[in-house]
Amino acid sequence: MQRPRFELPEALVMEILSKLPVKSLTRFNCVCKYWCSSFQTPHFISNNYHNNLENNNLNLLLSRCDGNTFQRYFSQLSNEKDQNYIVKQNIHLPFFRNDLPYVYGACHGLLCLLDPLKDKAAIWNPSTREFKILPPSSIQRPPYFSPFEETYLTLDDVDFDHAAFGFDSKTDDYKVIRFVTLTFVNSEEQYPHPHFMYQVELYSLRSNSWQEIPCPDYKPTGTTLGNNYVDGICYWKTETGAYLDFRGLILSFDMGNEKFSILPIPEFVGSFPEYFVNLLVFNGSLGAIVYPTEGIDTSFDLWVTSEGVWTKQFNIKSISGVVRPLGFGKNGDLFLRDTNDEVLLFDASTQELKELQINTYLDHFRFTISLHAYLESLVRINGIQENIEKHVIRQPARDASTEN
Amino acid sequence: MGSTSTKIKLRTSDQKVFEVEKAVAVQSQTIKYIYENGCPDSVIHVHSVSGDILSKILDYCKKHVNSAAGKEDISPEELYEWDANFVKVDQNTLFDLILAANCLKIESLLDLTCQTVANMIKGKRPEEIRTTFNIKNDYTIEAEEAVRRENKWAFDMLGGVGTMVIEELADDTMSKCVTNTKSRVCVIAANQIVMMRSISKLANKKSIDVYKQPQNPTTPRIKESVKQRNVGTGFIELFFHFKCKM
Repeated sequence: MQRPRFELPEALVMEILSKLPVKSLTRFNCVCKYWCSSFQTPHFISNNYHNNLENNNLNLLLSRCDGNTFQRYFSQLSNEKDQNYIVKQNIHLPFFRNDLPYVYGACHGLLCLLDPLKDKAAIWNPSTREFKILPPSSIQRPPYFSPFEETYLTLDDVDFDHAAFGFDSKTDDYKVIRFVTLTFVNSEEQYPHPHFMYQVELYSLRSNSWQEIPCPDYKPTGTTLGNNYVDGICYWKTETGAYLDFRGLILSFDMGNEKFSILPIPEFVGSFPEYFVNLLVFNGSLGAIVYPTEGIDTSFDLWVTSEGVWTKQFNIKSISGVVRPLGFGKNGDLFLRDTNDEVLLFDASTQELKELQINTYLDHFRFTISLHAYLESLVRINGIQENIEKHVIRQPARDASTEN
Repeated sequence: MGSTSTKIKLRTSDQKVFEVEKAVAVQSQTIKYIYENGCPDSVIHVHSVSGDILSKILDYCKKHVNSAAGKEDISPEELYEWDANFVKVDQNTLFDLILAANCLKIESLLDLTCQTVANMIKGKRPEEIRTTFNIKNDYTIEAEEAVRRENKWAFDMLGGVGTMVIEELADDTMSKCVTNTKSRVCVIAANQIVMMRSISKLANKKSIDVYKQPQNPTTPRIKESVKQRNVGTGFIELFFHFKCKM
């Protein structure tokens, strides 16, 4: 490009720059000091994010388990539709070492990685490669007195198996909410009967600390497909548990006022055990994908809720050999796992089932493969670059011979 | 009179007068505002826009109005292609269009032109960006090296053994060099190496020469100074075993 006849005014230059991918902007930090500081302003970050939102610059990560090391890692899939979602690079997480972190989010392009067995968590911006390790919660675990056994029980296990990651727009803060299951046993007994207690912990990025909040009556029992946060609220599946009145419910948590609520799940076509209902976020709303548990041919109904009203968006008719949905990619493409634990794609535009060249046959725990999507973003999280302590390691896929 | 045939007169900075349909002209929020709040009969002055540029802009507005109103049978894909061709202009004209779209407040055109420039620059080196936008580098040498080191990953190209990936190679880079007088192919990888070879010689050549970039403190140097390398058949395969030292 040549030297221009005139200069564009600053505001227009910034308008152009806000449409650039994060990698280009990172490189252009060294163009001049003014640009470097401009890219860090909330205004620019917000504009850039909105451009990504409008253009649906969605990046897809497939969470899988390495066949040799048993470690969880991510395969980043290509953005280009004509590349058939091949694996561009593999992202390993030495920070979590031998653990299999759960992935929450994305929220504004940020993901939260949480170890379900240890007090170990991180917030990650995969676009800017910033990695923030969360401090341990150091919340007191309460004692448990068993009146029947007339003794205090021993805390045997602490699990963090349900969580969510989202944004509080009132305080401009990112928060992590985590359910803690405490298992108490009578250590005197040979085969002790476990007693459970629950706590809820809330982390705020601004204060970089955890606090305990009151536990709701219902605890999450199910996981969501991918992201479980949308528009200021987090969602989990739960159930009444009452013997004769077993019903599926939705537990929600408002990031702003930090309150829990319960929503009913309508009987879509039927309910468990004939049908599975997976919660997910679809096109900016809470939705549910409903499909039969039995049968060779699976058809999927997608329902979406808005202000308490559920409407059926569409139906994908019988696809044979498919076991579970993994989640949606771009343009309504649906990723699925089949009876051979291979990852397939239902192409929304051609209405065809396609095989993807993602070779999962060497993976372990292939039934635990999950799909996560995030938009490119410049949002800063007060962390460090991934490669500094080698918390995150990226490797190009062996057959990736074009671009990044 | 039916509003469908209402015309508005526009006078440009170089005193050219255009008479356009109201529906087309009010694609510009600025013109719309003036028309609705001023005298509809007199001429509206668009001071900061030249005749040539306004002519192009009116083409754009007309195309989009007609397509939205169904007057033209054009699919969204075809309109997208038309837009893509519309912005295939030289850099100065593109910048003129951006300024005019901003001043006339035509949001879709501003988006289109800004996105076009963004696409053209996204793979460039910082040095090229400074030229494009006439920016003075106010970093000290040490400060700039520090920033580059911090953001090293954004300069890296991925590549396994034996191949180097050319990242975000802009189309205009290739074609520009092919047409110069010496008929050489000049391929510029993201910010690293420049390689030149005449096209006629490429086909049969087993090896190529590597030309380093002119030395200056902020330019990255080639880590392995490979003079000649076996080549593959395509241009992309020319680059082997190059890793740029930042």
